[in-house]
Amino acid sequence: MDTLRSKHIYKVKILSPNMEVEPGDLVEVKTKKGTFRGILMPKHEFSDENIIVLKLDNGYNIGLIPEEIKCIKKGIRRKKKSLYKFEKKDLPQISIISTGGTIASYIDYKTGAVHPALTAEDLIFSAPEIEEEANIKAFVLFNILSEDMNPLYWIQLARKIKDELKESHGVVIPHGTDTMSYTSAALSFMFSKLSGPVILVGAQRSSDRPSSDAYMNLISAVRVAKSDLGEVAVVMHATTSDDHCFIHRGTRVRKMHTSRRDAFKSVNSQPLGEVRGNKVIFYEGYRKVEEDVELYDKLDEKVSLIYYYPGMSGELMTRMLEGMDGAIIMGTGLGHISNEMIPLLKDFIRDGGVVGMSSQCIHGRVNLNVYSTGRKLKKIGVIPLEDMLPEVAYVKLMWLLGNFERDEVIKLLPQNLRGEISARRMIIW
Amino acid sequence: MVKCGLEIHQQLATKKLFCECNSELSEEILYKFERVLRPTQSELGEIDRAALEESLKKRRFIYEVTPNSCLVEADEEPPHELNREALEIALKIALMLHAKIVDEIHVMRKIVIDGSNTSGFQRTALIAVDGYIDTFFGRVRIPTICLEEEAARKIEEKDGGVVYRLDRLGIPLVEISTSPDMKNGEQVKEVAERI
Ligand SMILES: [Zn+2]
Repeated sequence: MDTLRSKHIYKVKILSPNMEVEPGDLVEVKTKKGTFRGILMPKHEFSDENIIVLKLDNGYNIGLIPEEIKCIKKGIRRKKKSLYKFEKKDLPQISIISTGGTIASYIDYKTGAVHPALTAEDLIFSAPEIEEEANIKAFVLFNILSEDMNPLYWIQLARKIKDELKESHGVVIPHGTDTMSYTSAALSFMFSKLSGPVILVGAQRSSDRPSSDAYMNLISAVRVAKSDLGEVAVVMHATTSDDHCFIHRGTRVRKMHTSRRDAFKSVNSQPLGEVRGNKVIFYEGYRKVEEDVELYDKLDEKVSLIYYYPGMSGELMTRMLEGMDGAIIMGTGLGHISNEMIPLLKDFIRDGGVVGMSSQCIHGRVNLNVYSTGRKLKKIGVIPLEDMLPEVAYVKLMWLLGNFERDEVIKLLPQNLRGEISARRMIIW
Repeated sequence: MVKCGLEIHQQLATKKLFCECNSELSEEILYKFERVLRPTQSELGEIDRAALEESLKKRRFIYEVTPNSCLVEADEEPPHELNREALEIALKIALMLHAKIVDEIHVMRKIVIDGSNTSGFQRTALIAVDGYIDTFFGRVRIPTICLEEEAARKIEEKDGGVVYRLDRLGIPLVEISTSPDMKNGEQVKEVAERI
């Protein structure tokens, strides 16, 4: 996405003494096919290395093999602000803590390239209307790709949220969509009490396109952050239409599609509510805000998430358990793995490891009582995890091992702490 | 003396330009969805609040999904690679018109927020420049030859917004623009026919 990161390699004569040619500059390029004039664009990732990209007067981009480049006029560079604050007296204050991702990207209107938002200003730039919703305090905490998110960032983020809730009514966290549900689960467990809503939000279409979902998602998230929800939630498009967003519980939500706007679904449960225009509607049973914030910010990273498949070797299983304090297995169906694995798990548990069983079916509840393999697993101490999502169980086990003694971990893992487990599942799913 | 230029659009009967859907029209509607388009920063530089509000009122669009439209037309899946067959046809046309093919073809976005493109822009690529065609009345220059995607079909305008059908969206289109070099109707006719 960020084409600016790849540097230009000019193997040509640059006819601009004292002047570096940069994307955004108006240039004249001499080639074998004639001379072209236009704005120099960031190099395209897939471009050949001899090629430069030029935006012509007619708006078209073309790739050229240049012989000479002459700078006619330098492009304008924007000034940056690191903290953005709007203040209107009678509105609640909402903190926007950006972590990166598509939603936190902005377009350079000169070159048309998409960049990650590096400053708070970039962030608000795409939706200036949120000024009317709240007193916004926006800043960039991380600027990382969703796939680079990890438990150390979760801890930093949680501490920052706690700080912000001292003065803000709620917090909105723009986040890359790929791993947003892991972060929402981590924050859900880390905060046992919240004095304001903690809302994660993302976008499936970047804000450089008129059809972007970033705007509606962000403004809906800010509206939820003004409510009395005392939970971590994810706010994203409910359907492919731009008509409403769902409020998903942080421990129930999962990205179920690679690209659709409505990729996020509440699994084995209903969403907490919806945002339709400026109305925030909660369906039923959500936790309300409390007086103060309570944070358990330790995580034990020595947990494996193991996807079982036919043909998986015992050797691989052994390696994935080695040196670990716990493991969550995504078993087949009701929660099964091959019988070959059972003695390996038995040893791991005997040596102090904690093993939870979830299902790769994603939907539905595991049950280790129905078949003999399940019963054997239960007997050696594998803990059936009800209808908890595997990724949520993985984060939960990290959190439990980080903050509690082993006996307590084993007791709490299959218990519902943050809405991650339901007693009932409905016919309509 | 009247001088005349032409912009000729030729639909190609290949698969669509950025997905595997068939290039045809359809009367069968499978589903409808609704979208809003917003002016982006690239369009306005700084966003003007009043202009934004005004534009948002008009930008509610209803899209009709047909059997020959997939997630790409719905702006729910990134475009696939540019259709090879369509590209080859466009290159052949460019060579026949003596045009210079650019060193590297770049697909870019032309912002269109009347709803005729679900994404809010039309994908288009400049394929070749500086071509010409010789006619009985003299040479006619062809400055640009582009390959682009056809827009969605407008069905109706009603209070709630504008209704578009996705069947036509994405059909490959070769756009040939001539310079205003033509001197009479006969010449225009000759150019149009030969292209
Ligand atoms: Zn299609």
